[in-house]
Amino acid sequence: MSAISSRVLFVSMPFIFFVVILAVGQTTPQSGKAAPSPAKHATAAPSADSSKYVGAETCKTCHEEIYNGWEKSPHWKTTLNKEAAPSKQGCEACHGPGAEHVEGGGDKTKIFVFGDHSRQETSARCLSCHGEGHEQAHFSESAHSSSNVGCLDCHSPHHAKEKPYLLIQSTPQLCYGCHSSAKADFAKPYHHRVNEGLLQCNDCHNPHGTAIAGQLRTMPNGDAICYKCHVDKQGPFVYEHVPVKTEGCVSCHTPHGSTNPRFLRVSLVNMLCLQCHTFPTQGPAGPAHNQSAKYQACTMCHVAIHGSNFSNVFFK
Amino acid sequence: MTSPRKPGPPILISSVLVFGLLAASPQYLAPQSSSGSQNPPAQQEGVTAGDYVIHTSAEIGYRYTNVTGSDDMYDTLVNLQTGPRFLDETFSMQSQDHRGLLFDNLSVNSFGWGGDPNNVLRARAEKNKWYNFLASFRRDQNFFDYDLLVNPLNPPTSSPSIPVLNSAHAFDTTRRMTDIDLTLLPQSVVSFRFGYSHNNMTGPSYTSIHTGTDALLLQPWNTTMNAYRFGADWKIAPRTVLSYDQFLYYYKGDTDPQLSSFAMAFLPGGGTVELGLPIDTANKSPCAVVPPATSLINSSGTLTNLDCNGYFSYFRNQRIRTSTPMERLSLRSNYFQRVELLGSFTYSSADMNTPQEESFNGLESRSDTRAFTTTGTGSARQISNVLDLEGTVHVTKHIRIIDKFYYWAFRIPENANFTEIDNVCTATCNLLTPLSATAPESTTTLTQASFNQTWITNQTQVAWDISKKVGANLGFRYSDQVFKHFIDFLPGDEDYFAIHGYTELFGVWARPIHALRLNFNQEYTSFDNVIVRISPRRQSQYRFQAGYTPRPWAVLGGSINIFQQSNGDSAVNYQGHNRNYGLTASLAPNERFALDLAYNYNDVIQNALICFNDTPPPGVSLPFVNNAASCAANDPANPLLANSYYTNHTNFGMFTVRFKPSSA
Repeated sequence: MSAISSRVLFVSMPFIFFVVILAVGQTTPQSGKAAPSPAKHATAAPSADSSKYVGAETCKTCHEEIYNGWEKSPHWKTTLNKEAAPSKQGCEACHGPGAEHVEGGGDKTKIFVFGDHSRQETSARCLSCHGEGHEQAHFSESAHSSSNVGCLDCHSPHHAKEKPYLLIQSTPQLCYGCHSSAKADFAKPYHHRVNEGLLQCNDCHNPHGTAIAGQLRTMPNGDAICYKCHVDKQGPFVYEHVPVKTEGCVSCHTPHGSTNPRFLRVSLVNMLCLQCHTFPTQGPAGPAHNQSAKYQACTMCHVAIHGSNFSNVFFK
Repeated sequence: MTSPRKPGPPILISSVLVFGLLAASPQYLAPQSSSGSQNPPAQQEGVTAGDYVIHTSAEIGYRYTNVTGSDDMYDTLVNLQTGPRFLDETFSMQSQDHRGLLFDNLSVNSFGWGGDPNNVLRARAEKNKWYNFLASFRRDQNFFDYDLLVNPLNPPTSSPSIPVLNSAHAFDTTRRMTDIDLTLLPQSVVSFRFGYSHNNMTGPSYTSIHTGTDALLLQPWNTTMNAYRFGADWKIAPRTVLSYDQFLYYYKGDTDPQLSSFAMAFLPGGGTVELGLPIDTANKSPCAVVPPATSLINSSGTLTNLDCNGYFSYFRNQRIRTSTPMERLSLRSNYFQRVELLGSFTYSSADMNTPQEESFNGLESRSDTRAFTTTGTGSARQISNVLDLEGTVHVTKHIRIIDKFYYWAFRIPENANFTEIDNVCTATCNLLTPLSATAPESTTTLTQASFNQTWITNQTQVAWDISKKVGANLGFRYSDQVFKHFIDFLPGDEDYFAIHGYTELFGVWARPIHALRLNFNQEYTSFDNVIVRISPRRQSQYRFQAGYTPRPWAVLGGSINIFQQSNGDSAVNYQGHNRNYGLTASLAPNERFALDLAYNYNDVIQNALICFNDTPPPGVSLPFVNNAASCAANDPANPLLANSYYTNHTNFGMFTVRFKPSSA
């Protein structure tokens, strides 16, 4: 496929996508009080009929223990919002209208029980309120969502161990539960201070998804999130070091942790540099220094390797 | 040269002991609190004050540290020192009826005060419908002195022999980071967000400058970033929010290096000269020993060869100022049935300027330069555009199509206009040559370049939840990266690369029983071009994760993560992989006892052909092909061809046993 034709195809793909949306014929607005799309397939879907709701106090008569714990959680505050529809208040904001459940003598098929539904369905319930948030906006398109990781895999409205954000476990242990390789990386001699509590996984990643791969956050201008802390490396510089901008920081560093100083991908600086600065190369080839003697680390002279305002060979 | 913090001999005994005491006001006593890395305690009743329930706890202790071996290496890797510590503190106030006067909830957590390298304070407050407030302060003390990195490797055969025992680029810096975010009226039709971040890094560090020889420079680090954020969210329709964000970033770099001393020598007739870091007289660095002298520095400390490269003084002003305003407009909506939409566009324009002021007094023997001064200015801009369009269509209850389109383009016009005036010797040149015996030579550098890149990706996936217990997804990602570097805008003086990437995505998940979860994801990417030599032409990733929770208190996990890259170009032959295999177990059958176990094996390689220049010691056969055709033909100065082979195998094992005598 030629570059031009592939590019045309590529650029047109989003438009094709939205044409498909129209073709599906589902572009009619949802009713104002309904939950987002996936939830409407579920049992006890939110209803505009207020007579189907019984109120949280009614739930308490049978589920007192759960209610007492929930009463101390942030979600209880939905009961204070008397101006909102019943579908936005109390237990029924998440579990759906409870009248039929009560009339059925506690019939579990008449209420939305989270454990009985798929992660997509349960997450849709949460996102009916939280989906408007900046942090959660990407969730439906996230790698977590595609991998069937839902809200309840990290959060627990009734049994949270961590009060902030109702997490089932504190971070980073919560993340390590699945990402065990990160646990080992952060134990390497040179590592970002995640286990020490200085940094948190969500400083660099958004577990609810982002626009780019790895659920990595970015700076607002699209630059790598690394520059949030390493501000002196962001530039712009008069003389940019090409791979910093074109390949990213991971071209030379392993950000979670490394056995090599400065989180470098290999142990010898000259080996790292020469792997790019050898014919054929973008930029100059390596120097004619004797590599067995001095100058094993190219950064001995090329001190401003992330970019320089003074030297086009990054000497200062 | 010493490390920037302290020289000090190694301490003998190797042990690190921490004595922790729980100390809290008796009436507010709570179980051990949580830091960022610890499990939280079971919450107790606390104390009621007015409408609020208050919990507080404090953990103080004394850390005793004794190190054997390299003190600097310990500080580079661990840096926990002896002394009393405020190890952990928590404070929370919660309104019992969620209707507090100023806030419904307030929580503060901090740790590390009293001398630990990392201190953190995090605070959170909220009042229903009115505001959400988040604040944090983090202090990170970063010490680095790994003496094998950036070391000229002075040989013992030199005369004099001055080994480099500390890193030439050691540093002892402290970064202080403050982040504050306030959201007003979070549940209203229109809500407002305000934020401020402050990042300041200060502290001594060393660097070097390559002029004649490599001189050691003291570099008192001082950089500051102030970032201001303002945003507004307007709920223009049900489940539809239109947002505007304004960001203002201001960066100040005031890290001005100046000459430091490593190998100082007296000059005949008085005065001193700094000879720099590389002391290898056999290879004429900074110069050779001239007989009848037997050493470059004689027994009285006087330089014996005045033709040496050397420094009397050096200074550079790097007063960098960068301002970056950014604007973002975004829309997210679940308004339509079965469709979720998200879009944002960000425009930013960073503007950097700096003076170019540099002065050198000494001798660069190669060019017979006795001194130089540089004056001028440098500036650069980065104009960025970021467009993000995402959408999910729920075709049926079980099938959805997900599309993510991301466009990131920037251009960096680069400008420099500076003049270097060299004082070049008119006759014999050495360190005693007066500046009056030199003639000025002026060189003006006018840099006008532009560094441009456009990077577009589009990812389309079909996700199929076959049942509640199993699902799969299949997708394709296309990427288009175009890089242009205009250098001085001269005909033909332009780098241009276009790289197209094609990625196949596949994933499957299963949850055969509620307690067991299995995930497998695979990506395979093919690129039709590369920019840098070890950019991959082929890249694959395989991830398998399993989680089993037979009991609520028992969590078992396993993972395999394989990442592979290659560039089969015959002149490159780049091969790299990072393979990771791990097992974890977390068992906490009751509040008094817990056990954590983990094992991980990590296998990393990164290999590529390189051309280089070397002289193997007698009798040593190096693993390269001498005068290999490609190197000898294309890079005669580096005629040796070798496979730069890096391999690293890491076994990680840990276990933690927690036991509390009382569960209360």
